[in-house]
Amino acid sequence: MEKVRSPSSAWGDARLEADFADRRTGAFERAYTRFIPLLVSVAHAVLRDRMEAEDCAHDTFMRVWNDPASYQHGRGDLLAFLTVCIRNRAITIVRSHKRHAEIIAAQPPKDESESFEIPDYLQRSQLSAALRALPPEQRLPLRLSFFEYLTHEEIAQRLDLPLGTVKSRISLALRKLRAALPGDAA
Amino acid sequence: MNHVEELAELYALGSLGTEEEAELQRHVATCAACRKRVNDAERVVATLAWEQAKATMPRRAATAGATSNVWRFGLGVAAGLILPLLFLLPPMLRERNGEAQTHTALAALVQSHFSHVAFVRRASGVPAAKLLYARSGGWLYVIVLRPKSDLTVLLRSRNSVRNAGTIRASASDAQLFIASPGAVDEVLLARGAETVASARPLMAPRSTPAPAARP
Repeated sequence: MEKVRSPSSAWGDARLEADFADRRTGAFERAYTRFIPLLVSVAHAVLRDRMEAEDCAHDTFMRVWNDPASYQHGRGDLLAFLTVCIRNRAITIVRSHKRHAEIIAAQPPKDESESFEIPDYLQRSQLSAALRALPPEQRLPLRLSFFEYLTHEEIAQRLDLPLGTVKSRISLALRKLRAALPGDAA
Repeated sequence: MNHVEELAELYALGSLGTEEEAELQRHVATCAACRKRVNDAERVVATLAWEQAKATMPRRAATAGATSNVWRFGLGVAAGLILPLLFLLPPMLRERNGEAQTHTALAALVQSHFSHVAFVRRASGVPAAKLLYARSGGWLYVIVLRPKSDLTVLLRSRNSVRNAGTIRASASDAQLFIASPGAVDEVLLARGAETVASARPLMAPRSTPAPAARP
């Protein structure tokens, strides 16, 4: 669909990650110009507002850059780290604005059964088979967490499950997906 | 903190509170095993997030190299200010290599010298707009996204309102750079005689003392 820069090309750039960890000034510009369009789009997927997404991505990027303890040598993939930082910040904004229900309502209708229909855009993903293979009791908490931004407490309430059970199921689901990703882990 | 265990996945999904997240970050800074588990979880969530972003981002903003990104303008402003400001930078920031000078100045400007605020819209049909400004008060930069009509930029201070220029109607983004704007309490966008949006920059305190009472 859109020509977002391929994230996989950014993984494993050890030199950029090392320079960023050292906060070398050239690394700021390289990481910013290379990653910010993708990071804004990640924030936009949560916030659904372009300017708010730009603010969120820029502010979070600056916060990470200005805090040497936040990304250090050996921390791992810089782009994955920044993506999660910015997405988490966007989720916090959504919650703090009390716009949660409004944003959920604006999303396309989806199957509310426990089958967890995989969104079209994930059908093409390398994770789609792994998503389909998840048992429903793991898929549903994952969906509520990733797509509806519910906290694990809210998920426990929604599904009438103990909090520990929800945490375990989400954790297990994500680790199974990790095993499906190419790379050095799994 | 003990090992992060399942908190790694909950963190990557944005499900932890601020305190829990800070504790997790402190722990992974010293524990290689937990760092690995957190990064594994980040890679999965990031992959899902990138797919989601591809599917939901408007074309112009999602396309790599889109020219309308506000922060590209911001960086453009910073870059435009680099050459004159190089002479003002502390000697420790000056380097022999010209490219390094540019990077250093850009980083210095971006990190410490400007901030931003969105305009609050006061009428219907007003385009989104943003104000970038030097916290020292040295410059203002007004960016309006696809203005359908001409907008006058007014600078309001304690005792006056000044016309800083006009942003012309445009099918793309339009901007107005204002050098040395002087004291500004509020920036207004006016459509004809009507004020349709406003923004308040938080600039450094002025050197002249404020009067005891505002008019």
